[in-house]
Amino acid sequence: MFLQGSFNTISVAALIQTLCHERRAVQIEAWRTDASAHICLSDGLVIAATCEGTEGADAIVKLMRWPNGLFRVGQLPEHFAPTMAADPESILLEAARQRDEFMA
Amino acid sequence: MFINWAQGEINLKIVYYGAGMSGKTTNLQFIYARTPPKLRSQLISLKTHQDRTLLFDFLQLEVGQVANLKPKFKLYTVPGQVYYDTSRRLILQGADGIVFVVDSQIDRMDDNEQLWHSMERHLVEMGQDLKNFPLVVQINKRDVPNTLSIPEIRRRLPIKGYPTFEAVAIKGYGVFDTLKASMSGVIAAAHQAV
Repeated sequence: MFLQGSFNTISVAALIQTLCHERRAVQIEAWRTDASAHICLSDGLVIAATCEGTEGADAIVKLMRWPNGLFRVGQLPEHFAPTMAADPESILLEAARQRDEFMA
Repeated sequence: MFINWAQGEINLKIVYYGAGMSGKTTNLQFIYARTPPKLRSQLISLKTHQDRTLLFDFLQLEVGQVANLKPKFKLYTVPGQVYYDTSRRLILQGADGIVFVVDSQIDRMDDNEQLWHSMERHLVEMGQDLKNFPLVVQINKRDVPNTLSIPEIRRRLPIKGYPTFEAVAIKGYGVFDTLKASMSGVIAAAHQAV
């Protein structure tokens, strides 16, 4: 583990964008009282995502709706098998769009 | 601004901001179409209900280097409908410059004002100093009927002091003048920061 904190300090979007900009091969473990999430990043892409029983891009959409939560960032396990390869920017913008339309 | 030391690039972000249907997408589509393919990425288009968010990045070789780094620009539009506030804030995060696109039509002035104030609010929340932020204004749709005069637009919107360009983006008029002014402002700010 090399980084940990709260989503009150850094948003989900900013955390994912920063790590993807750096092209880190990392996993983000996130949790709050009644839920958890797991996001894997490598070479600037989201390569796996789960959140509250949801997988893929929808998992990040769900995670972005958390009002709070904690996270820790660690090294990606060796021989990790990706389940997706998605540009984080598109996912984050799509999540923001869905959130805006949900709130409208 | 994001510096990619491995690639020797400085990534700079310019956001086209403005009311729905003001011409932000038209600007980006024109720039994309006139940029050689080897210098640009794919155009990503995310659909919203009545609008689209577009983004693509490109290397601009004419503007020189910043601290021996090649500037690579990423251009974005924001969805203009009022309720896409979270989306606009996300897109504005890390912006190095903004082009505010004004719709010249009389009946769009309220929307222009609303979006201007939302931009100001987001920038202040992000800790930006509005007086020194590289902001360029494009007064678009100068060719359509029922437009306000430039002095009247200046009276309605607090654009005094910012570089301002008249445009007919659908025909390409003013599109690159606006972009070049924005890039110049962003590069000047990056020189100071790096």
